[in-house]
Amino acid sequence: MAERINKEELRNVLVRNFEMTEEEAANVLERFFGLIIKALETDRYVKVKGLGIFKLIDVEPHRIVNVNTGESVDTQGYKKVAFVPDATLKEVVNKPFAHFETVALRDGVGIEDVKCELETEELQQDDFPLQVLASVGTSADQQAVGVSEEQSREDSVGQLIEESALQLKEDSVEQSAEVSIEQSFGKDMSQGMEEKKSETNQILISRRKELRELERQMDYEESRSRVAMGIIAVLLFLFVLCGLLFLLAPDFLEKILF
Amino acid sequence: MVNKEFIEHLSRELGVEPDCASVWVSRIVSAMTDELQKGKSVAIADFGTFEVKKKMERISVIPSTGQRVLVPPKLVVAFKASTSLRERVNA
Repeated sequence: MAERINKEELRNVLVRNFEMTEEEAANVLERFFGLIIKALETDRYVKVKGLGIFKLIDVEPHRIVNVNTGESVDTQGYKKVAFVPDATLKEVVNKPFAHFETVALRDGVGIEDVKCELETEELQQDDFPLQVLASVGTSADQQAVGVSEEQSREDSVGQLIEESALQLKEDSVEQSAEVSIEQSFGKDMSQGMEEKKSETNQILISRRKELRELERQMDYEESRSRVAMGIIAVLLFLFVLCGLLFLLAPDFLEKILF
Repeated sequence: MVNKEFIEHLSRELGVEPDCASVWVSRIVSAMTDELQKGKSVAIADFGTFEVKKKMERISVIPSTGQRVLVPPKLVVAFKASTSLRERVNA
């Protein structure tokens, strides 16, 4: 998982980067966090530029029910320390994902569609982290081999086996996808931003593409039904016109027909 | 307590000019930002832990319009107060 640094290491970073003496840096750090706590106690609200806002939030006394035993217990009210990161900090941390934007979805495209797309995408994405981290993936590798075997079997044997193999494949893909996501996230953190960027990029791009395709399909169906409606309307109109002509000017019609 | 008051308090405690204190605060913040950007957590004893967490992509609904949107994944900073801090503010 992600590495964690403590106050001493943070002090060392300060000493390294800004040519402060160790004592000075340690003192400043100590006072800095001490003052935040003090300010929380007195004002319940501290804003530190570049870092964010710390504030106390009152949690009212409430009743909680133990799901297993069904007993309900009243809790005491308490104060919670809430932290809202500053916009700059938020931006810097979110940099690898910054280029993704919120996309509006059409009515027919649902979470179910996205989920089934997820599975197929991760099948493609699957080998990416494995390539990068050859050392990690013995079990995942086996799964991958299993998948390809099943595929070859599919070709040769009939439909029954094909169906079962598909099911198996889906199962294994789901498992390995979960593993690979965890692996990739953990490793990415240490391996640097670039890899993470490209990987998430790929996942997202393919996901977006499939969503777009779905939308296009819906567009196509919509337009087809619209054309059919148009033809029916024209036919109706002609029919009504004929009827009117027949009612209003039977002589004229007789002249033309006979 | 807003940033200005915070800097003033800190400068008084350290016995330096507010400008100097302000520079130190920005150094601490930038050091922490750097570490968080690398994906590391910053754990301060008796204060709490700053951690980068990944939020997965999700579909959400805008309540006013009923429009459904695909919200992209993101990395966010989470802060978890240490036990001692929680006890102090509740004392």
